[in-house]
Amino acid sequence: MAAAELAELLDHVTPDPRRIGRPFSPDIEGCHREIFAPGKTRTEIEEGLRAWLRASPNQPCLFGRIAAGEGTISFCILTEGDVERGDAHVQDVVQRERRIWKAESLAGGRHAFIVALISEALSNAEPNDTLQQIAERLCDLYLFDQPQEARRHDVLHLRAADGRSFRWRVGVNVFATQADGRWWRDHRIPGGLAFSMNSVGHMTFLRQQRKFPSLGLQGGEALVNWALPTAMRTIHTASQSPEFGTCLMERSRAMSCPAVPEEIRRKVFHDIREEHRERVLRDLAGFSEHIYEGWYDTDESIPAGYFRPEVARPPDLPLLPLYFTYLHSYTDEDYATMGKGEQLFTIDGESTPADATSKDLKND
Amino acid sequence: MIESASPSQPGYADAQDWLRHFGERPATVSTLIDLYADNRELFFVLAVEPLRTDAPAWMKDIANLASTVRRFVRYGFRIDDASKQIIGSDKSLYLGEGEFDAARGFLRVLSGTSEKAGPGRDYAGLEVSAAEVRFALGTGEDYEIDKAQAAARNDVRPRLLSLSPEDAEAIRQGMPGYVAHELKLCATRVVQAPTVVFQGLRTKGPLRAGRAYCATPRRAFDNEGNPRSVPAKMVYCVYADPAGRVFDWDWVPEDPSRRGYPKDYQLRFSNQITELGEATLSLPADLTPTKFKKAAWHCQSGDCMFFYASDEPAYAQRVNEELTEYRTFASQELVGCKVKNFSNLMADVMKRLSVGTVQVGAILAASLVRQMESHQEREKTAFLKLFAEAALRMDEDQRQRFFREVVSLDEPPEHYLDKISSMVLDLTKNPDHPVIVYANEAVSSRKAVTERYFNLIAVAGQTSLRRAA
Repeated sequence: MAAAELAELLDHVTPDPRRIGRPFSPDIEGCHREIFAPGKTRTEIEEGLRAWLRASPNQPCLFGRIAAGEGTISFCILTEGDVERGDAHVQDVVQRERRIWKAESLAGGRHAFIVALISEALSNAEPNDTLQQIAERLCDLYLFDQPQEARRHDVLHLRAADGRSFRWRVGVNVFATQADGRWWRDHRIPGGLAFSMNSVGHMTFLRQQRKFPSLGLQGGEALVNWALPTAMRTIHTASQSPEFGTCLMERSRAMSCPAVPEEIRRKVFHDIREEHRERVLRDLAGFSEHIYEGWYDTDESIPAGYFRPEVARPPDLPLLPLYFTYLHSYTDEDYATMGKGEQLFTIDGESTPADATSKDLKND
Repeated sequence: MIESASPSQPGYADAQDWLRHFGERPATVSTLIDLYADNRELFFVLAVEPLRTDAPAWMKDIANLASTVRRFVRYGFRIDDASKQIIGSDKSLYLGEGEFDAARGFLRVLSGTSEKAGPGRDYAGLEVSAAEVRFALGTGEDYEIDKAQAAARNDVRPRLLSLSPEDAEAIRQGMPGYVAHELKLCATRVVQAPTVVFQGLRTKGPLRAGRAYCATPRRAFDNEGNPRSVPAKMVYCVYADPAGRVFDWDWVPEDPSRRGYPKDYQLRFSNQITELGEATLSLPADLTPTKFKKAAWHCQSGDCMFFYASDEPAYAQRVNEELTEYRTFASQELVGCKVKNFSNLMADVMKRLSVGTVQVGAILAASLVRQMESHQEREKTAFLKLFAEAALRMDEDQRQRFFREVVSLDEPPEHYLDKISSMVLDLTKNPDHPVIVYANEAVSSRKAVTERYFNLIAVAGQTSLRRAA
């Protein structure tokens, strides 16, 4: 049977009972006033979303906030009018914006891509099967070669200063307004429902190339030393709110976590001098830089756990071990680059990852 | 941004040599998979560079297929498992049972999304060739085209449409429920994504610049707001004045020869708007229908009067430039009407009436009088031409008699057509004479219009025109 079109699905969303007497957070409400005002162009809606993404502490992803500040996010804004025109039209629009994102990423102008379906009815909808179907359908129109897959990916290219070209796989994650006030708050976005794609590898590679051209193309070094602590801080910041879906794991617990095989544990936990590690991670040094945990799989594009009406985290959701392996691998060589990262931050005048992040944000 | 291949990179000549060396093969996906396995770089070149015009046909076929596969990867495709078909935006491929799964996997490889080693996203990246980049990202020209189209779309400012407070009040004062529900659930969507937009709703007055948005919504609605199936061969039209005030919205018969267009669109509207544009209809949040009342309402922005004798869902059937009937979907029963050019009609009526209350019947009667006058005007013009033609075909004696009798014609309007017809028949002995044919048609057309008005006047009874608060 053919999948229902987005317009058909949008007809069947039901109002979220949670919103009765409990409005959205002020930052979301403010953004909605901006983007739902009648007569807005898509460019103006994009500006509204970008401003929200950039403003601290609206969303915890520091990579996203930095990209919004630097203007390196491409947007594909879809409206109810696009949906009314049918799925073929939606796919044409998404694919065109996707081609533009990829082309502009080649020279380093973009790292991230947000496909956002902006609809007041959608933002007020109850998280349920219908909303999940809308997410699945939109993702299928975007990543047409991976229909219904749990972990979907896109691909991004970058041409380095020496003319060589590189390719990264990019994770795909759903965000929705329904997350506001719910346990998966770290995946909220104003306006309805969106997919966010951000290549941290691409972003870090370019940052290193621009800031430290003398270091050549050893992208892994900068990434481990800038991106890993930034990723850890993203998760840590999100976990400080009353509702959260992921959190860092204390190092002592991680060292005995049965999810990490003994052989790897021996390599990754004891192969660097403690003082180096503490200097880079500072207040996060008590947490593991290898493993964290969450009630959803961060690699999964559309976690089913989001599409439930519960405000608090449902007790039947299992706690999953999650890895920072997209930022560094379990090898002596990569782990050793923690020390070199210290050098990078010194060169940059940014003595800690936390400071580095602050500076990036101030530059916004 | 994305430059063409440099001289140091492989080009079409290398690809052609490679194919020649590979040997003649059928242009199938299996062949492409073999070629890709043999030399990725030259495969990418094959897909993006045109071969020389004198290349053998089998080579060109393979290159065309590689180009098609590249379009799938760049522009999107969907898989139809049942027919073993890969459907792209401009081309489809039918594949054999054994080839189908291999083709799916191959497209994933070409997209670069098939490499999923490990649980997460990669960071180190993978070095790729310039040919692969060109295959994946296209040329600078492709980019400029995409960019221009995206900018045009992203900067479109939707036209703002609204409902006048008077019309909103009319809905709250007893218009049929389906009228209110379809305004909220059909009209709002039609203006967002119209199939066609027309300009020029009337020949005179401000509505010359009014617009009609037409589309076929996915559902119709009943008086309780429950969805019901879309009536067959109908489209939904939403009419707005130049200031963006929506004043009317109806199901109307579809043009039999143009899907998505209303019947008689050439007669009804001045012109079609090339740019579809986008519009947003904002409605009051408290727009809820109340108990139905048999009544008529004056709508200022549309310069018209709506009359509903029943709340049974109905469609709009244009009678003439001044009158539209409402007939039920199920039985075609006459249940109301819309009378246009209302201000002129009202002025006529008020000249003749001393009382303050205006009955719907009086408005309809005034419209009928104007329609008859208009009919007579048209008939007069047509008859003058026909008379001249008839006179030219007569001999001198007949012509003299004809003119004498025309000059002495002194019949009441409802009878003079009969008199003219019998006169022409007597003179020419030709029952198919154009004057006679036209006279018969005019009588029957006039009768049909008169009957429609009389039926409506009977349905309206003593109903008076309401003015919304």
